[in-house]
Amino acid sequence: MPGPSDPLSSPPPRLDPRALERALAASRAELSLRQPVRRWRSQAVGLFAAAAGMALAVTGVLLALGQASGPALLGRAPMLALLLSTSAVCSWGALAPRRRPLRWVGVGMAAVSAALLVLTRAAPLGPSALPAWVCTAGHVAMALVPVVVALGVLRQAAFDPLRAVVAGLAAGTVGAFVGELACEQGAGHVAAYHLGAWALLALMTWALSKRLKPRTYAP
Amino acid sequence: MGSVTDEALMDLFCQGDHSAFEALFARHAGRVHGFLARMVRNGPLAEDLLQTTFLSVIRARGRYEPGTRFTPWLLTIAANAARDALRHQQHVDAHAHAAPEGATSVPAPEGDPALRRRIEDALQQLPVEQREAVVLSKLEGWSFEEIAQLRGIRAGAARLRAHRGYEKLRELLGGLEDA
Repeated sequence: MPGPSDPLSSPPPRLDPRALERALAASRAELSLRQPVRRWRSQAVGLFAAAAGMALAVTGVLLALGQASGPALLGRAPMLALLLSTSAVCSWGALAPRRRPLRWVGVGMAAVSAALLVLTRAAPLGPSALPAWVCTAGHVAMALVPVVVALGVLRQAAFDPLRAVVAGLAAGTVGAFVGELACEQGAGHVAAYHLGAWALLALMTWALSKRLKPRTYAP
Repeated sequence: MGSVTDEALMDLFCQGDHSAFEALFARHAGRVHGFLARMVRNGPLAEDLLQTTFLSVIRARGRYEPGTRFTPWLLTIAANAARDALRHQQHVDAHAHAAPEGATSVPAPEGDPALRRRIEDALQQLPVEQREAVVLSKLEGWSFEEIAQLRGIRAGAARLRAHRGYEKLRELLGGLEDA
């Protein structure tokens, strides 16, 4: 395309020196605030800590109230460890500036965890006294703090749909963790009301993150 | 700081040396503005985005990893800011049912002004991802691998975007080569 390519390559519009001065003044004002540098690694650890901390805190309450037992906790330890690992990988993948494949690893781990949550679920002990949607509402309520943390740290970078979904999956592991301990309903209930809530949280994080104005446009 | 590399300056800035940031600003502000002006074709908006880009560098310095090439990182920030602004502008325009007022507010630089304006108008008509691929590959000298990394796509997809952009430019500028 010889005709248009040469004029296209000509110098860009000159920058008004006053605009340059304004941009530099704004940068100096930002620097003068002396805000602490937030490393992405500490943000990733913060997101994981919010999700895992909430899961462990609720587990502690369940143990204290006698709603869960030590042997039951030990019996489900591999599944619970997998959920915590999923949360860790998703937190790291969501915040890492590069390492896009890690985000897909997080999605894969969440899918494997979801499948195992359904496939390893024993037959229900009996009809529940509570409506099934209580599990979904509990899932969402327990994940609120991690979701708020996720939204806060996602604002520190340009919006990326996969990053947002993976951060939502990290936050949503709380409900999956607690549901594995506290709910004794069958596989169908887990698939519909537990995993549905997990997916809802991932979608909610994506939708809210898309609407929030990012604080930076860094990758 | 003339002989210090951008990456070394950015490392110094991450360690708290504000003069390193000013050196980076002095080196790159013009280039970033040129890129933004071509992307958004709106003088005041390009100036605002220049400010936004460098504010992002300050706020997101904790996301800069040592060893990352600084210029692509900086232009990625500018490209993300431009995309977001264009998306917002399209949203506003869709509601206002009007063409963007500032679309022709950047004065054409040296050369044949009519030709320049026609080319810039054509460039503006490309979808954002094609315009970005054309500007980055043709004007900023990025490889398709770098563009692919910026957008999280395959190099072939980046090449295709640029190719489609060139094809559309050729179509929009039909007759220019004969003139």
